[in-house]
Amino acid sequence: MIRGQQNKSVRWIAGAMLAMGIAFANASSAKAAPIIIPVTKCGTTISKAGFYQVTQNLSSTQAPGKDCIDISASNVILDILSNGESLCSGRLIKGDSTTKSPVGIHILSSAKNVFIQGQNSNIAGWETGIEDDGSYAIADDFNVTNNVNVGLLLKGVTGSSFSNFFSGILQDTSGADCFPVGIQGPQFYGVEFQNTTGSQIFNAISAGNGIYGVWSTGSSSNRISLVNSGPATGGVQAASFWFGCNSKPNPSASCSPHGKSNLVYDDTTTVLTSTGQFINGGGQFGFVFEKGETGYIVTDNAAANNFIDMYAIGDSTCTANSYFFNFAGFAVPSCINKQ
Amino acid sequence: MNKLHQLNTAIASRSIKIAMLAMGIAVGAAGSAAALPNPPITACGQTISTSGYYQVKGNLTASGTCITVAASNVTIDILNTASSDPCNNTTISGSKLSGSAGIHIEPKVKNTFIQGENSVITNFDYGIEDEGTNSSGDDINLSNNLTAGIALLGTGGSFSNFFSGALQHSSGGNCSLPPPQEFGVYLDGGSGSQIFNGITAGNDYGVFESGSTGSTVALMLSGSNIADGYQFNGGSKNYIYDDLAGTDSFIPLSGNDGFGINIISDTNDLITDNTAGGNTDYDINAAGDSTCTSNTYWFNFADMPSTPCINSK
Repeated sequence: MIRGQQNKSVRWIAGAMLAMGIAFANASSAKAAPIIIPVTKCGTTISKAGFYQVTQNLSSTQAPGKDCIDISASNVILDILSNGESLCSGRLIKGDSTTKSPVGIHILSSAKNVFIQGQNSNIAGWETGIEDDGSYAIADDFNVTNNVNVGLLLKGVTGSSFSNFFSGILQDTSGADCFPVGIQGPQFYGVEFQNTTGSQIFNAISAGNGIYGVWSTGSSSNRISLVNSGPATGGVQAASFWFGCNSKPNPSASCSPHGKSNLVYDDTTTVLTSTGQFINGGGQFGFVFEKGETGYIVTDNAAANNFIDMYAIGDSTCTANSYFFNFAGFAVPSCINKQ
Repeated sequence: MNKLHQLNTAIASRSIKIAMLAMGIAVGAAGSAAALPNPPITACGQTISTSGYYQVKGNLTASGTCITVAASNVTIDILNTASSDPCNNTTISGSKLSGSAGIHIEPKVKNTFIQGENSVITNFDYGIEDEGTNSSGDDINLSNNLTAGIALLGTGGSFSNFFSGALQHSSGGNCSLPPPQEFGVYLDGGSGSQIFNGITAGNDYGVFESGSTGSTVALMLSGSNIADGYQFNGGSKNYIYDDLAGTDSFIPLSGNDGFGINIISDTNDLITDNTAGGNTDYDINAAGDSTCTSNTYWFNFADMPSTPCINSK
């Protein structure tokens, strides 16, 4: 990973607290302490509001051909209880790496205000790791790794927010892939915004995906901030960030629909690996803005060592979008770097 | 809870930029006259009434409010003259006049974007006063303002990657004389606002929420404040996660002199994955909610919670 060191300090604190026998006491009770509803197998549909907790590893073999967890009700909290391990050994919701394992966690369109606390768990081997078709969802602290198509898919939603996650090829602290056998990778896309508005991702890493680290297609008024997207050790990623409707990097192709008014800031094409190594670029494209994508604000982003670090296709005067205070080693056109 | 990550990310990002600057690459000149349609702002007392991109150049000084945003779809880029000492960064400075603001986003204004470039806004009543809708602000320091560094009073405002409090020289010692800001961030009555990846230190209260609904406070660091790191008082359905209150080993934050995270009368908040330690009073306090039923608390790491159920479910 790439995310290996992220939670070290807090995990240490948690471990120390456990060792001292404090803190993890049971709730003292009572009248209305929310009932914790355990989720113990794939094929579960959550159809009532409440607090649900995944308490063990889950596998697609428990419900072949089905999503692992569907959420159809609003106001659901899904807590994926940590097993105390991290990286490759963390809590696992596992598919079989085929289309017979559709979605790891699927927020259906009927579900609003879902909150997922991942506790640094791994969702791997699904067609799509997490798919949000609802709106106003929040998810935090999870790894979507080695899925077939997309790690995190926001599909036709409004107002959702995903943070503090890793999407790509998860690796251990020696740089070895967590799931070399049985669960295949790479994912085609780390994150996909599809016809989505007013949503955001922040403080995330997308690394080692096959095509795009972050892909926005037909989506508008979203925020992409503080995201590091680049290749993993020995991995590929054709473009770190791709804004436009071409599903593969083909700058001259036309497509529709286009997106507008997205905010892209504080992002980089550098990733920090689980071994403490900075991988600085190395993909075909860093940031790409297709012709037809308009009204963006693109600022305070950094990219280097890609074939083209920042590329505004067909926007030779940088007027389709507002680019300023960016730091690209090679920008086309150069006005992207305007100070 | 990835304080390490967020710091590493910030450090990496800055390092890349510095390296690129040192190599003389990348920071090319503007290639388009069309991208700079508006004259730069070089003095305070400006009201922006037309959408577009505006660049602030040079240090500005105000006797009242410096910049008022009265139109939607305005971008303000505060061109910073970077310095190794943050106290010497480009500064918008007021005269501590009651009711003044460094940047005031008026009600009915939508989609303002402020790129601070690590500049400083200081000595106003409010550093940034946001009464608009869907505003964004990034990469800015709010220091020694009277009431609040950032006041989020509107809807859907989002501020990130900022410092609010008593800004210090790189060698130590405050940039400005006391008094401290009353609030690093003040969320009052608005809805759907968010702050993330920011630091509040040296205020009376680091983050103070009063009647905000559906707002997000995430990935924040708050320490060395005179009262609470975070206080939530009168709102509902807020999301409080991945925050740190109190001591931190990576930046010189000490505990807050009050509570770390103090939930006074909010209801139906979600409070998870927060870390708190080294504060004078409880690290996380659920006032009057010994059974954790007013809000949902789980997966927190407080050395001293007011009730054990804060940490676990």
